[in-house]
Amino acid sequence: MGNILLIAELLPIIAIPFVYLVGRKSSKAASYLIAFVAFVDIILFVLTVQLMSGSPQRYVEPYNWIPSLNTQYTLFVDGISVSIVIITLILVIASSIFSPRYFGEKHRKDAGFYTLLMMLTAGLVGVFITSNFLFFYFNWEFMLIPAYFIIGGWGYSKPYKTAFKFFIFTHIGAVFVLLSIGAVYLFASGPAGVSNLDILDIQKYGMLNNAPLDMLHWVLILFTAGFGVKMAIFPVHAWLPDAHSEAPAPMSALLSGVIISAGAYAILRICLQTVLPAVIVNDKEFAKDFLHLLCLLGIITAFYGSFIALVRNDIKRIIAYSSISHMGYIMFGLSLFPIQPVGAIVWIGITGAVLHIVTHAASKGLLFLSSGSIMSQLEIRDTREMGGLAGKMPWTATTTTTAALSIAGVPPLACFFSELLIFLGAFQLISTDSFYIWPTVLMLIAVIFSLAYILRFIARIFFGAPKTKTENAKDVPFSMKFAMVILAIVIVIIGIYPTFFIQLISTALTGGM
Amino acid sequence: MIAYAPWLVWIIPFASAVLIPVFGRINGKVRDAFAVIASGVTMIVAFSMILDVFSNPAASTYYDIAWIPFLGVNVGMVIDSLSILFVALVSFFGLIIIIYSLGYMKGEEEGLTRYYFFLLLFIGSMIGLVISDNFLQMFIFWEMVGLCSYGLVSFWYKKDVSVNAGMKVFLMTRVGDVFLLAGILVLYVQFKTFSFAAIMTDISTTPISNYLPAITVAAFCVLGGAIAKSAQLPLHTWLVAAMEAPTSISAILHAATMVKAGVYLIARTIVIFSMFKLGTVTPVVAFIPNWLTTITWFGMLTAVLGASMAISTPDIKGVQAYSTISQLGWMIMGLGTAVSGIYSLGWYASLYQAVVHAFFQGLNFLLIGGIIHATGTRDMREMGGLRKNMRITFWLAAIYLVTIIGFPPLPSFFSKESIVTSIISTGSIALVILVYIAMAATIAYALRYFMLTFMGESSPKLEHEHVHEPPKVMLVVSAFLAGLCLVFGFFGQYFVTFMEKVSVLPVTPEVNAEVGFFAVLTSWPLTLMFALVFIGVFVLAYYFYIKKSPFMEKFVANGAVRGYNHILGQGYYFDPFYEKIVVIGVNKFSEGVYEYVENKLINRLIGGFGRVSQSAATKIKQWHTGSLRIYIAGAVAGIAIILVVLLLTILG
Repeated sequence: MGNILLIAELLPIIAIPFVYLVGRKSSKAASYLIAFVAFVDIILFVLTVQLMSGSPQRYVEPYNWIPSLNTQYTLFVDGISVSIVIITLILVIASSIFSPRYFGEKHRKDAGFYTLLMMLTAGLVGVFITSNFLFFYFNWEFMLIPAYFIIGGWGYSKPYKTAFKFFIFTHIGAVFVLLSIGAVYLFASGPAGVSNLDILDIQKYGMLNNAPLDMLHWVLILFTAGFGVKMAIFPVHAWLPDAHSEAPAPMSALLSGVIISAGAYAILRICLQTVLPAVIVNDKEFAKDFLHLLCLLGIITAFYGSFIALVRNDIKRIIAYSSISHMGYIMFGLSLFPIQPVGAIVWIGITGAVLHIVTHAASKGLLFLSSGSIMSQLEIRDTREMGGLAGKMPWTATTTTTAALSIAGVPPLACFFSELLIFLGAFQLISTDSFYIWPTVLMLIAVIFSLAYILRFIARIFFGAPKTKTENAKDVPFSMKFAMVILAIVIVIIGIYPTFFIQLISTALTGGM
Repeated sequence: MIAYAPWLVWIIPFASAVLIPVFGRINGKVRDAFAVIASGVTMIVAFSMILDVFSNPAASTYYDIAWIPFLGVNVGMVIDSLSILFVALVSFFGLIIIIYSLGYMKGEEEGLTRYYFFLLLFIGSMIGLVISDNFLQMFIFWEMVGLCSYGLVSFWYKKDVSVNAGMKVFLMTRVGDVFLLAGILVLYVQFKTFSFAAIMTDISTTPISNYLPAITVAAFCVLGGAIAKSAQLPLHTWLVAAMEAPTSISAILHAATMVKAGVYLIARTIVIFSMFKLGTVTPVVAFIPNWLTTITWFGMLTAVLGASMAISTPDIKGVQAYSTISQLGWMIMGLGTAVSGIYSLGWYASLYQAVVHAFFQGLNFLLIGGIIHATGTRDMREMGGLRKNMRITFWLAAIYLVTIIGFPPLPSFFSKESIVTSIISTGSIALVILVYIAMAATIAYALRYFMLTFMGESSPKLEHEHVHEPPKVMLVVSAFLAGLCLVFGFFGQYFVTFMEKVSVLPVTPEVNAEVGFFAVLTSWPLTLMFALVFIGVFVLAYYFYIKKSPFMEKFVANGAVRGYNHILGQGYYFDPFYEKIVVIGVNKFSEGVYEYVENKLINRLIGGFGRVSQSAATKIKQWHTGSLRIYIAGAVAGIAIILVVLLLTILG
């Protein structure tokens, strides 16, 4: 069992050629293979929960990579990574099962898509479990490439143009990240024999504490800018609506579910947990201002996304803007990072933000899959031409409504709890930092707008009298229903009993830094 | 008590709701029977707990299991008279409505599975709401009640009005939910717990200055939640829109679930804040500045304005909507007087009123369901003379009429006179005048509804309709409720004993004597006042609606009255404000954001960036002429510059 993380990391990589070989014969078999690999990976990751120890709780597997350079290839998991990886893999399972019937007869033997999907999975898993900056960056880019080809090759209108926009945007972000990694490498100083590029070691030994202060400021800002692009925070969100709405549904689900949230994960792991403590030690005021800036960006993004989602008519664009809005929620949650971590209660907001990554992934993933169902059945995407589908496609209607109401934060569905924790964290923080009063009030108002666009979305598509184009609609085939129902069940289960994830995430945070 | 009753009482409806689609697959009859059985069992379980409250002299009993350890949140049920009162009420109406639906919803086969699913979920959520022992759990059920009402109001999802009504219900109550959530979170931050019991302990054992600011904020936020859910001004218009629901749904929504949630919430909050201030015998709630007064005023204004709108609307269901809004105003205002004047009388009176209102309003909705079915219209001006063809309905409606007006010894006489007593005891002249206006207006709209519908000649429109009594099952259920209306007044004393049982409100001995409804009977001035008001309004209504006297016609034609009527017709411009200004405003603003920020600013910037790089590339491309000499010259020049820079840095 000593190599469990390495196995979990290598399993999807090893599976890539097999998926290709199987996919040449049958898409369906390839999709099952992906689902199987992802399922095994989930089991492996659940097993690691038992292995976690220490404070904060985590499980680490170091491997020597280039001993002469003192570089280690260290894999680690804590509650945060495990939660996100598990939901990622669940989403991969649902997306892959969903795909064969979604692409239809034409793509019966489609090795390319499934190979790329498997590569994407490998990259995603890698991002969440590597602690070495270089490998993190490697995985970060590694998930970009298959995403580019999937959007380009299997997208809707002008796919390569959209994919190009996506690639350039996130790549510019990645350049910022790379610059900052270089700076960290130069300025980190720790005990002998410890790698300068290991996130865990930097945290453990406070290796950035002695770095020049203005350099630290720049590192923090550049990292945030770089990851902020991935997260599609206003005003660098412009790639998202295009990429999400033009990508094929399974890809949109993954994009919106986890790829953009990877940005949020990185901001938490790198900006907040690794760099920010050093800033706090040296310049508390700057740290505070930085968090306030994140908070404001979060609010603007949350409102901006909701407003536009309220007036768009394209089924996938509404959901895409909703994703932007929810990245705002997560950003707001991340901005609740405690300057003085005293007691467990100060971590409620961050716990909520991470939980929101998980719950949003399930809900938004399902929404994108459902929109894919509708588009593949009707071959239209303008919600004004839809209507009355509740009676025609009852399964899709049920799952979509579940996901949509979860996004709107209605209990007992998943997103309710993450939003609750974020707000609780915000209220908690108000008592020590009065800056948060108005942001919190504004975020509460944003919840109403969330419900508004969600209700409009549901009403437009499913309610009203059937129109000419929806009159003969039929529900989707079994495998697609199955994929959607998996996610719907996950949403309801997290909504009723979020404790599993909350405990995982909070033990990763509250151990003290 | 049946074992695990506090859990079963909400889990049974939930589980049954989930099973409804399964039974629906088998057969419609099986499904309907299952729904009846499920709600019947729920009612038995619920009623089994009443005896428990009576027999258990100890304080509230709690049943907890851990839920989210990180927040210290448990799932738990509280059994005290307040929760059990509502549990019993909801489960009873659940059964009544499901039986009624057997007759009423015939012919809606397509959506019935969905209907019963949401109905059972609605019942379960409401029971969960009132039996929860902590704010978080209560809030979750609170939201689920809203969700179910959305599903049920939009029952005819193919009709745009229903869909829009459902959205309105959900969105407007959401505004209140956000307030409530904020209040709950403030309480959590202050007390580090959501639990009612823990908050009560903390309040009674720590100095008030520690928590007064927090509970003040929380109390007002909670009030915001109650205002939206209980359809108080200014967030009342959703209840009018909710009339698009099937009438059976309106009945349960008005009688037991949803709108009563706000009343419960305020009653519960008062109980929590009624712990004594440390070292005194004064309840903490009295120290929250202006809170109770605000409640009273919100309730009072709603009672008056709601009743006035009920007088003017021609829609038979609209009358009921405004009537309920107004009646809820009575309850809320009563709660607001809970610790002023005659101590805690308002609290008991309001809850009594909540039960009474459930009976007569439920009864009336069930009748109206039959009337609309028989006449094919909702406009009362197209009805009239229904007493001839709907004898039983007519008599049942007469019972409704005397109950809502509040003749002694019908129960609402006691509840209303107690509330009036409580209001008088606050000593505010303005409130006393308003409460009598509300009472007069209540009598007026009730008489108007009754006269326009049942009395007079039948309108020409009805000639082509085959006006007939509703099916037996519907009549039996209605008659049962009518019976309750008639006899419940005699049980007022038991009601108080029941509510007092676990002394949820601290009742000091010297005030104890004044609590109790028969005390009111002895105060003859109130009875006389009521009689005068009733006679006055009756005479007016008789000449106006039955005799149609020319004097009254002239009075209405008067400019000021016409103007006021117009304002009434617009519902005091609340809805036009929300629809024309808020909704359209938000839409316009969002369009603007999309048009100007997203398209004209951000997308253009990005496009510009692309164009600049492209044109730069074309320009730079021109330098690459392919001529070797130029390349070499460039390379040499480059090296020269680097050398110079290097030398300068080394030497400098």
